[in-house]
Amino acid sequence: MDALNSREQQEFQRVVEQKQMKDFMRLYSNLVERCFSDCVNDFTSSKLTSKEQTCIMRCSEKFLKHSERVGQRFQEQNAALNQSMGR
Amino acid sequence: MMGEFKHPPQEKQKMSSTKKAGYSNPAFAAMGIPALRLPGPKWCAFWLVVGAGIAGVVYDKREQRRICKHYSSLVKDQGAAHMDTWLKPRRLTVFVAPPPGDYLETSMKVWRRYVKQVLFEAGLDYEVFTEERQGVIRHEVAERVRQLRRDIAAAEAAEQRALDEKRWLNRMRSWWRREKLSEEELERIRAQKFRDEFTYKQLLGVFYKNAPLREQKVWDADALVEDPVLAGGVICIGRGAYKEYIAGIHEGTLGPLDPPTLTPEAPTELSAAAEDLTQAPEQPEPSAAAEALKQAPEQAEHSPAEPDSAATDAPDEKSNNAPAPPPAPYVSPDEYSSLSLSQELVGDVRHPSSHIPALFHQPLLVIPVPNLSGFLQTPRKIYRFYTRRYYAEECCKAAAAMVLQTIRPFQPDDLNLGISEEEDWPRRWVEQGRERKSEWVQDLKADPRVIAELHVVDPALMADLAATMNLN
Repeated sequence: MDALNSREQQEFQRVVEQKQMKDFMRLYSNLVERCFSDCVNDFTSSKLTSKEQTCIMRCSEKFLKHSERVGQRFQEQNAALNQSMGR
Repeated sequence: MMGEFKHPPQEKQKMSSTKKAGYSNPAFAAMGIPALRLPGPKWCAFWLVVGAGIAGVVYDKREQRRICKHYSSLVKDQGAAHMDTWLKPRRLTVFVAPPPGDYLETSMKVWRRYVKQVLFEAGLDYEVFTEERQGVIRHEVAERVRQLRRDIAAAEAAEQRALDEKRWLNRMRSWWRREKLSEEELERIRAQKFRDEFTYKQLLGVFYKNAPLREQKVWDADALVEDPVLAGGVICIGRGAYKEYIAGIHEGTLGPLDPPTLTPEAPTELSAAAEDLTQAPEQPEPSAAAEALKQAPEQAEHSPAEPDSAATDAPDEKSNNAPAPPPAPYVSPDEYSSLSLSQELVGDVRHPSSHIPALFHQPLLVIPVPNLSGFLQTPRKIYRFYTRRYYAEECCKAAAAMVLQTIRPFQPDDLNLGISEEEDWPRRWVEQGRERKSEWVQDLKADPRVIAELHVVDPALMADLAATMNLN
């Protein structure tokens, strides 16, 4: 990434966006899988019970908050690492 | 078989006749339970002593656990409170020094058992700085203050430069220059901009199409407090750590930024003093001894001929691998009054980029580590072992006070914080320290200008707080 010309930059940006999209999909499917298997356990009705609904709300919020915090830390660590390596 | 033959029959009879009847009743007898009777007086005494010993330990441990739980419960709400994802928790700095003549583990036990537990429950972040040798904590503290001063100076210089560039003439000139930029240079600037704008957040799914979250800067909770006194905190575990901390703060705020050029005979004493006095005093560490030897031939009696028992097989290797002794202090305590407080450190001092208040603004807590050494101290050691709950209470309460920030300004008397520990210091160690001009055994000196900035955490103030909390 030291000296990219503008065409390479566009290419790089595209790759980055693809990666992010991929990571987003991974996050999303992890969240759905996790919260579904943890919260939804009553299959006698086609609707979610209120208990299941609050559970899913809490589960997804916790999951997202956790990912946000870890993401922030990840970014920080990387920035520090880059700085120490002189980029 | 042989034993039975040795006893004459009449003696056996006598023994059985002295046996007490014991307690029994027909129901017990019907169930086949033999008569209940006390064992002989000697056995009784034995079980009493053993039982009392064990019961004392168990009671003490249980009380310790109860006390720690009580103080953890005082701070629990703070740990469970909501915290935004862009906020980093309050961060404490912990300096741990070993008690004289013992290993670091002794002090670390105090930290792990009593202090850390409370901080953990309160959801606080902490950074532990430990060191076996003397002078390292002082140097670290001083270096942090000096780094802050350097950063402040650099930030001021950068600001000044930015101001200059903003001036109309300069702007005009730079605009003129920009016109003449070649395509190549433009490309280079663009590449630089692109590189600067790239962050790893762009790779993470959480931030996908979530610009506000991505732009959100991460803040320290310490940086957001109005009053710098309420930010962070410093815990010194051990009287020695406290002495070094105070000396380090003075060195950092009053001393020069760069190490002074010392005359050749000056550093010898100091580096000898910085020698590992926390180890057993009669075994000077080979590296420090070698260092002293190199610098001062007259101190040849600390020769590596009597090395540490651990290093007998490879003394040379060890002296190569062992870290160099910490640098001598840039200023001596006698010079404090003649030095001026540095210009950058006036008022509310914060780090220019992170906005965290300076170390000396943060409240200070001292936790003594009473530690007896020597065989003749055994009775006192046993007494302390059985009454450890009082010490546990002291530590847990102090930690809780740190969390709840019961703070008061530093008073000159506070230089004696944790002085009770000094009574336990081995006399021989202290004498040896005096000879080598160790920092630990000297009187703690302070300058009123520096002290005015400090604040201490006072657990006594928390008693009122806890009482009011119980009432509500």
